[in-house]
Amino acid sequence: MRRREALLSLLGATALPATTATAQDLSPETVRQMMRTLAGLDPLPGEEAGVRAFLLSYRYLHPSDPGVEPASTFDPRPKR
Amino acid sequence: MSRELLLRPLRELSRLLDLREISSEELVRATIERTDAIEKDLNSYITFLPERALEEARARDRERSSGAARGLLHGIPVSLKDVFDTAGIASTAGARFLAGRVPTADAEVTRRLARAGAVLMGKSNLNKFAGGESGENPDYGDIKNPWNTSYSPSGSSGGSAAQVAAGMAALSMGSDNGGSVRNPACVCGVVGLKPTHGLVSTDGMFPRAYSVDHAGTLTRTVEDAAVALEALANGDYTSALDRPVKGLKIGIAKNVTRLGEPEVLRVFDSVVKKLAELGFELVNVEVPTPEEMMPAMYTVFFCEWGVAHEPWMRTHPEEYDGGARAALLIPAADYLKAQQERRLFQNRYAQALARVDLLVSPTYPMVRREHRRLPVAAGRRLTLDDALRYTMPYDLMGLPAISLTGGFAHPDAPVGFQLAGGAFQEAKVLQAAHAYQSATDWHERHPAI
Repeated sequence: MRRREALLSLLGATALPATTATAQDLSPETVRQMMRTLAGLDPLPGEEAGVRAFLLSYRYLHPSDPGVEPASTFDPRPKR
Repeated sequence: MSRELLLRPLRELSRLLDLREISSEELVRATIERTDAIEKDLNSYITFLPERALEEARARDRERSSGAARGLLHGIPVSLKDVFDTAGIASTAGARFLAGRVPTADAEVTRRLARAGAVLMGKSNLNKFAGGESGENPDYGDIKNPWNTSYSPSGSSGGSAAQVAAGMAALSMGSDNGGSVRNPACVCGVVGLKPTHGLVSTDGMFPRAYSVDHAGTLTRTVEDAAVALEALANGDYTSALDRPVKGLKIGIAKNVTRLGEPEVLRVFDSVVKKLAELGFELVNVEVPTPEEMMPAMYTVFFCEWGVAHEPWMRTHPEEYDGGARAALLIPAADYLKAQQERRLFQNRYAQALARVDLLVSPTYPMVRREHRRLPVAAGRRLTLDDALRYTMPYDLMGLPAISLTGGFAHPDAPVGFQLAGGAFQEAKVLQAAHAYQSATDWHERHPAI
């Protein structure tokens, strides 16, 4: 199970899709739950949009970003 | 005292002090007058300390008169980016909510400069928390480029670079975790040195991301950078400056050096040609691309930022906009994997540096950087990743790198290039940079302000 799916499962935020989840799974409510549950943060009004953008832009929740390996699936072998 | 004198290299000011042609008090007083005249246009200081500086200068003059001058920095006006703790003086990291933070002890960098006899003029403006390269600060205002105040001096050590370029300090200390010393040095037409990670102590430096945080110098010449490094790191960095460079090998990674505005690439090509004329042997090498390295960099950077800033992220959440608090959501497994990948990148850099003495690249892919607006190059608007593509790898690798001016895109737009070397090879980096600077006169141009 991918870490991202494990997180969602942990949160009980959504039923996991059969295929790899996508950015749509990161709803504002999911992000708020992640902030509360995983970091103990009380989200500020509207903050989830920035957090969501951060999570997507730094590629560790979005495996379909072309040309960039998401950090959550780092391959420790040198790239050719 | 003339503006021209304030723009002379630190080494020359030191000689004039030693010869008693000027006193430290005169030098500092002239620096204060110049700062008073142009600071309103630059916004380069968070805390300016004229009375304290004059007192220090008088004390340094008394010491010199009694034969107790401490070295080349004795009586020289310097500034510190406001990330270095200063006992009894507010140290804000560019955040107004920290304006009441008055350390009881100096940072190690502050201590070493004081021990060398330098005179502290003030604490320089920066990107808030030393984050970003925009030269913007929502709490203390935008910093302006002395070459053209319509533009940014870049960042995050923008105030430091502006001050050195404008003759408001002969040396300023900056910090660099993605390019924050070298990028502002590049667009302000000065020299920015980021030493090997750990060579200059970061004790008492406001943390951003500890494994990529570096303290670095901004000076008007390469020789001045070597002089400053000797005070900061206790090594010998000046005696090798004039050694012959013929036969030294410089690697060019053509797979990563071709992104930038056309003027940047034009200047870079001319730099490479000049290096060849000077006797360096240019060798093609391959290094990891910034695109490969960015995910690991950002994972390491933000995870460590979250750790360092967690208390404030909880007590002052409104200070961290743009989703920055997501740093606290990065799993430990991702951080550890990023560190694994970092080690592999280091191996690949080591392989490249086994074939050559140094690596050369542009420093910053743009000229005339506007606040809140990156330029277009190669048909698209440049991004933060682009802005850091040449400098960030040496933070992640921890290797020494220097930026110095290689030409001008316009009369008010200096363009720098970067030389980097193996770990603790600062002497060689400085030697090569000094050879280039001695053969050119770009460093003798100064902003009209």
